[in-house]
Amino acid sequence: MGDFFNLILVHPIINILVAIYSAFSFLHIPYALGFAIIGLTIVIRFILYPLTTSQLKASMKMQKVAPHLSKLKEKHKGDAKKIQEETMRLYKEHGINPAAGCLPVLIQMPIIWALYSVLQRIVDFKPGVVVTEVNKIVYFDFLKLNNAWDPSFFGLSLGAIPSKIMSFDKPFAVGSLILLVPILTGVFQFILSKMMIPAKNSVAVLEKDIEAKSKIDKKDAGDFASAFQTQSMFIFPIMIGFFSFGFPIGLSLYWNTFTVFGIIQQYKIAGLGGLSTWIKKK
Amino acid sequence: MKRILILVVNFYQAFVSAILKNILGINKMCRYSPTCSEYTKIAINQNSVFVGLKKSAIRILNCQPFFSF
Repeated sequence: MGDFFNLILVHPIINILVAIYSAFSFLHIPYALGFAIIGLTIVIRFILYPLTTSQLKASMKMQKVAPHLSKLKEKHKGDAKKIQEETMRLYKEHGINPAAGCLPVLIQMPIIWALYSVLQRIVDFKPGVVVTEVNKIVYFDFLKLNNAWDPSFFGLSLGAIPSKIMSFDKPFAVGSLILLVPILTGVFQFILSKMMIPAKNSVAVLEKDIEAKSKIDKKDAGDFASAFQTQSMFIFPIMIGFFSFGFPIGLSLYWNTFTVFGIIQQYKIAGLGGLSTWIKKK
Repeated sequence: MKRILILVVNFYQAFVSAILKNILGINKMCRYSPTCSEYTKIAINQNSVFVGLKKSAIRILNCQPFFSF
């Protein structure tokens, strides 16, 4: 299984990464490896772009019809088949393509995971073995590395881990600036989560839904679970921040590029969403 | 057994689903209503574990572009 995953996803992605890296170092761009990680993430995000876009659009339209849908459910309570039929009719009326389904979403998961494991591996290579290890994976001779890459990025090693750099004895030392990495990661994630929540009028409906739902959930799931669900907008960014505190910087670099691309895409397709109320206030 | 499975689904709904949505930036991705996870809970409850799992597996597999209603 692991070999298969390597064969179809991890190794091709490493090849793309090495190609971008070679191009960057050929152009004498400083910190080529760091920028290659950013470049690779953007390339992958562009490949996934149509999938995500169609998903975002469908999700937006579905939110619009959500109130109609809950009315339908009231009306045909207990008659599951009728509800399903009416739902499909409603989707058709509003031009929601029910053909998409969740497959496009599921396709993205292994790719995101593969990127993660690629970078996990890349930043872990010791300088001595980089050349041999990479050259084993690379498909073409012209991609082969002649000497090891420089794993530093603006003075930091991409393999460095914030929680290890920071010394808790001296919290005000320069090294503590590394805390900015997990904080930024969390902030970007929060912006994206906030944007995902639809703005204004639709929020009223949704909040009611969420309230009603959390009441139901509380009965069978623990309080923490339901709180997690409704508050995931706040909890998830904090979680991600903690992760990036314990992960190599190269991975944070990937994740932040990924998130920022997501923010831009979300903005282009769905607008500011939940952020708009904050931005207008200013 | 039923209880354990339903607990697993509850866990998925509470944590995994929320995390996935945040990662992918998607709010609502279901073509079905109730959602597949909710349906699985009901199916397991009403039928035997095997029949319930089979039903939900069929439903999840049908959630793709090549299957229309």
